[in-house]
Amino acid sequence: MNTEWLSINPRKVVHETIEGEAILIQLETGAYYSLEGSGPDILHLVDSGTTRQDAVTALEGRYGANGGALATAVERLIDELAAEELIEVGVGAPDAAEAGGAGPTADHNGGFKTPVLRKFTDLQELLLLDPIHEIDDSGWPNAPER
Amino acid sequence: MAQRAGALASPHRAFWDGLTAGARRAEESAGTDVRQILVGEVRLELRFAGNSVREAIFPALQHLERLGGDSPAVVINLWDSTETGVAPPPSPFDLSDLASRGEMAPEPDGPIRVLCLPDAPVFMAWNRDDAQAVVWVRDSASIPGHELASPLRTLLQWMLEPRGVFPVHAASVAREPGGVLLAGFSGAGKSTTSVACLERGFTFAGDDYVALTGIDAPRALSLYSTVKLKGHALELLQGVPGAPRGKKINGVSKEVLYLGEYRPELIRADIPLRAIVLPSHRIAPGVRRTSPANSLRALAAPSILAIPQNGHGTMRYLAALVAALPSYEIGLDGDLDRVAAELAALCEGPA
Repeated sequence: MNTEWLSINPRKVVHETIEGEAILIQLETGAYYSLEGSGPDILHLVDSGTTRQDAVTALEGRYGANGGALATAVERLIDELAAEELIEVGVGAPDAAEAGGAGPTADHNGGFKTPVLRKFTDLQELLLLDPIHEIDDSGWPNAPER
Repeated sequence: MAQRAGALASPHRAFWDGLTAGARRAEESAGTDVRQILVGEVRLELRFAGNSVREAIFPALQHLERLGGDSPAVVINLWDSTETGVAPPPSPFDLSDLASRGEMAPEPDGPIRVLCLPDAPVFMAWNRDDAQAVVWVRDSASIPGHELASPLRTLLQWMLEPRGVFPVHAASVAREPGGVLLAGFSGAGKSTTSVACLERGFTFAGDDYVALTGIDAPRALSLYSTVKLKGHALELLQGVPGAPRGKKINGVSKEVLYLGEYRPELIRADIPLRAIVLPSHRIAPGVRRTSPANSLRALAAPSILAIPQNGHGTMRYLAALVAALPSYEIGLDGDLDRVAAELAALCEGPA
């Protein structure tokens, strides 16, 4: 599991990081997210392509292991991002052309901060355009005469 | 969708060829009315076959009409079958091809995108390589209300984004020398605030959708002359001199006022932006700085999710925009004189 490749599918997710906060939009579900703390750092590593173990190692190198608390926090966020379909977990390195753009990362001087992912679902109705409408005898897409 | 052999046209290409042929026949049948509009520096030509589609959708765009000038960057052909008697080509798509927000499964590695509004029905097709679009409507009388108030929104996004112009879900008001971008989700108070500003000497580029361009000197560009209002905001409108009642359009919960029809001087085609402002009924009155990330969330999510697109270009642009402009929250408490005065101060701020 620790060697599974992590990546972001640019067809499903758009994201940008500004002043230490990442905004992510899941284009298929219509949910959008704010990611703070050291979350943008982790997101940046995944966006460049990494494994769980390599992500933990990279961040411990920046912030120190902190008795395993950092690893736990990273693992938890990765699980959360995967559950929200914001990252993909697979085997093998992704095609280099699919790697998304990197954004600015969090400030390292303040030490590792527990990542916080907030989810917003108030816009999901924008994706619920229902194509299954009544059709007339000539078939789709012709709506019946009103 | 039918599978194709290697040498045959894709379903998208065949449908596109049929739509363009239909548009030509429609023009021959009903005559052609050619209009040109300018969005920033991008000139779009709309070729209406007959009158009914133009009468339905052009009022929202007419304030952008500019005669003469350079050749258009984009041409849009529009026709309906009821007036012209010209039927569209058979649709090669079925319901399983319809993705969310009406876009058909995209043409693999091809330049053609197709959008369907099945209620009307309406088909819109865009050919990136030809810089042409076709809009077919079975009957202009059945065009959905949201399309009358904000016509061709998806097509405009597909056409304008590669040209550095980004349609977004936002309002923009101006008081010389500059203006502000009002961002926020539906119900945040963008339209109410916009109308209150119009009553108090401001001009505006739009209350629901505008286009943005530039980073060093960002500007809001007008797309539609319509204002959508309900309840308290509708009452406020009576304070705007000469304002008639809005029109109740089927399928739109608010009344729609075509500002360009009676007070075109209130509309600014191009507003140099000084700040991003997030109106809210949920915070205390007054103006306070907020984070660029709050502005990015308020702008990007509703803009990108409302229109089928990959979103990356818009997201990158908006991230640069919120880094370039200061962001504020403004509390709305009913004291619209105060709100307008606070926005006026922001409009007059440093470039």
